[in-house]
Amino acid sequence: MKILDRLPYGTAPTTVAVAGQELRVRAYQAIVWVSLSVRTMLEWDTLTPRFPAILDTGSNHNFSIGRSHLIQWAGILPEALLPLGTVRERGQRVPVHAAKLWLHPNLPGQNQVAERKPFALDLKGGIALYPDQTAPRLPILGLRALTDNNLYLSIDGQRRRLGIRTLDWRTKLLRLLS
Amino acid sequence: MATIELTDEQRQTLREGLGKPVEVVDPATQQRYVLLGREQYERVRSLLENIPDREALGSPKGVPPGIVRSQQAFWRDLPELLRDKRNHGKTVCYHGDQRIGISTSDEPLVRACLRQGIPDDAYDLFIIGPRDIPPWETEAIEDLGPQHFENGPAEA
Repeated sequence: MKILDRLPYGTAPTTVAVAGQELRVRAYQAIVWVSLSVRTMLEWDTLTPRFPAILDTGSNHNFSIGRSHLIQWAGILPEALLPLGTVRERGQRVPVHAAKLWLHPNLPGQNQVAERKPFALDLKGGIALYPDQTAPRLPILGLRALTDNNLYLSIDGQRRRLGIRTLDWRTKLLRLLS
Repeated sequence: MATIELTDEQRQTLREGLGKPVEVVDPATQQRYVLLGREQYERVRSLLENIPDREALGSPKGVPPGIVRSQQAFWRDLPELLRDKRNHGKTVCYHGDQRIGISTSDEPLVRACLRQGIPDDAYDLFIIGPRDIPPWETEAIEDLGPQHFENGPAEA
């Protein structure tokens, strides 16, 4: 199943709008739209707010977000997410909380979100919840979240598009042949 | 833990107590016991069972004891789980010492916990795969680069 289908990313700076704010997106940064919920939310709730995140394959954690973004963008109070432990980043201990992430599909070849059910990502190890002073300016979706959910990421550098999908029969066949 | 079913009279007393602990007496021995809700029990369980202090385990304050116990059980069982290659990459769920199950996704395991009435703060889920530190220890992750902050590198 295709989740992100030929999602464009820019080689020049651009902006993304969230909660009435225009936020800068740097060149070569891919923006995905996500929602967060408690881990026990098994069925998608259409009232769950969505917000942008940077897809960063250099991040070796699941998901990183600041407290204010969690409250204002995701619509969740930090206290609603169970604490699981901590990670260490830039010398600071960052609390990790249990959560489920929902990755919204795009309209094929466009940055626009498709109005269909998002894909649920199980985040064993939780999300890193930063104090605002040290939080990233936009939430970050890391490679661990994609890996642990057995997703397939492809980047078409020539067309500046990327795709994320579940494992399909073609990929399985190619693996067998290689 | 052994399970005893409530009588109708006990259920009524508990309802009337609005969630407060209820004292129970054994008429044969006059031994007194306290009946308290599962969630209340989970909060004081570590004190009763002398679970090692969370700070001593490297885990922060605030991690529910039920999750710490689940993490300890997973770490204890991981070598055995890894011996079966079919487990690799799958999800395992623990409720304290009890293994709820192994699955390809969280959903059936979370549903199993809900069916069994296990509160959210009394279980945890893990990927079965090699790992070098226990789940309760603080893992060092890659530092976020300057591009993730407002005063990051200038645009070209």
